Amino acid sequence: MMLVLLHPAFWLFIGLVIVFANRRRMPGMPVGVIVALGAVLALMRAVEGSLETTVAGFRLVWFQADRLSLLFSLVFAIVALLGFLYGSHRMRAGETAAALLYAGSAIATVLAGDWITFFVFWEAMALSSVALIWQGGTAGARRAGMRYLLVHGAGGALLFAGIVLHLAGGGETSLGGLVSGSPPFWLILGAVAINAAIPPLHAWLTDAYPEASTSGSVFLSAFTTKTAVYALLRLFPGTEVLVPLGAAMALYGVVFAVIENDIRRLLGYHIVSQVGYMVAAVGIGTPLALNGAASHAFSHILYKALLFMGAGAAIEATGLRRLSDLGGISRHMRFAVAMYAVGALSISGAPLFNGFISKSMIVSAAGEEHLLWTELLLVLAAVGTFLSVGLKLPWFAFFGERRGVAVRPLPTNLLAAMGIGGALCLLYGLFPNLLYSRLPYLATYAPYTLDHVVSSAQLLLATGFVFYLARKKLTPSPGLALDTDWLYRVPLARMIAAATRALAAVGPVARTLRGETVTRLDNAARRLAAPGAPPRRRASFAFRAPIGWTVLFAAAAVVITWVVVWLRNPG
Amino acid sequence: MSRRAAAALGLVVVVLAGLDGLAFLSGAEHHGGFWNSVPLGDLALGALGAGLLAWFARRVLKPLLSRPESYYDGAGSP
Repeated sequence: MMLVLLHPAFWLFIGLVIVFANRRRMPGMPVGVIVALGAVLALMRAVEGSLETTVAGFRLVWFQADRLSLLFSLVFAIVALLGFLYGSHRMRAGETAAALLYAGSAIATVLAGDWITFFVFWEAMALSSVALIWQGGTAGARRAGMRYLLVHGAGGALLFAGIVLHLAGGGETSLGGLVSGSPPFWLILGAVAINAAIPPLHAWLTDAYPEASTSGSVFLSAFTTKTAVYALLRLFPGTEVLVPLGAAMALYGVVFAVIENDIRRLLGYHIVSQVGYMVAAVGIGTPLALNGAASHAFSHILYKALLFMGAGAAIEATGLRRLSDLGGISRHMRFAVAMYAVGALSISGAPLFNGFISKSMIVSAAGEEHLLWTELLLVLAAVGTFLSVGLKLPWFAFFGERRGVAVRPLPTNLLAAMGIGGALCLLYGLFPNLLYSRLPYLATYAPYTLDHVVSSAQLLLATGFVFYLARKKLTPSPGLALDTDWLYRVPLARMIAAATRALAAVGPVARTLRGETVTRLDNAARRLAAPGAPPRRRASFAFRAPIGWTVLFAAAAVVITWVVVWLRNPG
Repeated sequence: MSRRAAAALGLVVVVLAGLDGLAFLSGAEHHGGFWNSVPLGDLALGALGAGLLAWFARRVLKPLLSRPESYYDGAGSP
């Protein structure tokens, strides 16, 4: 029992049981705050080591603490605490339970020391995050959650296939040991790339995160992509293909953010962009770059949670989520706007804020390795980040033209969570050694050199000047921008619809399929493609159909994998 | 831009140029790309980069990818 109590995720899972058992009698949120605090305290006292057990002949290392896993699990626990505090005025038992399972699974994933434990909690994280998206409570949230489930189901199938091939090929059950360039290597990298939102596999993020509740978005911004960064750091350091992918990803996110109108989708594109820095750093693979990726993940989780809290504060206060509808509300929510500014300066890499001490490490690592184009793209991405998160979003949402929007007062718990988040961003920015002393690799770095500070100040000043000149041209307008999710929302959905109609048109197959089954598939395709379209008949089953597809994809991947394994080792 | 704002901006640029020159003269190690070793190189890169990003996003990407909010409503209908 003592061994179990040592696991930080245990706190969150116990909280889940308490919330579930008392779902009709007590609000879940105080439980969330208490157990997340317990996890933070447990992780602050945690030491390196491992705990394992044997189940059905498999050696399961369910707690493997080293500097890398402790760094990630600590910041996961901190952001869970902030998220529960932020949402404590509105989160219901269901949302709290989903958030507890999500946070606990993320911590358990980064503390897993074997493939099986890793896979189980990776998938638990996927399912609980879908539940969290659905707690948004709107039709848009349900449909975006379905698309999210479809994509992550495919990712889970890839991961499962990769793990099975790795083990069948004589690989160890302990996490790692992938042979570069082998089929398991690419399958698992593909699965991790989906969770890391590497374009073109990123659209699930910008599609689903804005549809969750305001507190749900805070949790979502922290765990899935950063667990993937942890997996990249653990399994794929120095994989060169990640360098161009990461640099392109950093720029991709900021370009789309410039034209985005939905405030949380805009921030979602900046998750893609910031994770791009980490992906590129993992690809560079030097100790400085890997420390840069780990520290930037730590910083990013804190400031991105703060930014989503700021965007959520605007939504909570006004009920509006689009820049084109907002404006001139800053005098009604000065503290929230000030804390948003802390987050914006942090993500922009302004000196004295935590983004500066981690982002500059990655850019310097690229410079040290003479990766000129990578460094240039990362610098341009930093410029674009300040342009959209630091200037465009606050200008058009909080300042700018007053539109007579009614503003409700914000609850104290929400402001307290933002205050703590802002304080942490400043604390780590002012005292970088608080973070550097926890980094996993041996590399020294001094962020506050005259060269670094002047460089950063010049970039920010120039960007501010350009925004001042071009701010009218950057005025957001209603509408959406097509992204890669168009591929499965339009052509794929139409292909499925056409295929079901073709099947229904032939003989005995038609008699079998005609009627309800065809309608179900057709409705599923229509819902995937057209969030607003009503089902033909029996909406409830049409809603469930994509789950069936996901299971089908997963099952197909498992069968194919076993066939491949059997063909390779028929004996 | 008002005259006072322009003067303030000019002052900041002069201070940054001075600090850049100080870093250059003190022989401080410059990290990375060529723009770091050119006085006010980051300022130029920032202005150019921000202008380019804003232009590309507004003039190229938006006309190409922008659709009405209701675009996906009925997109997959037979």
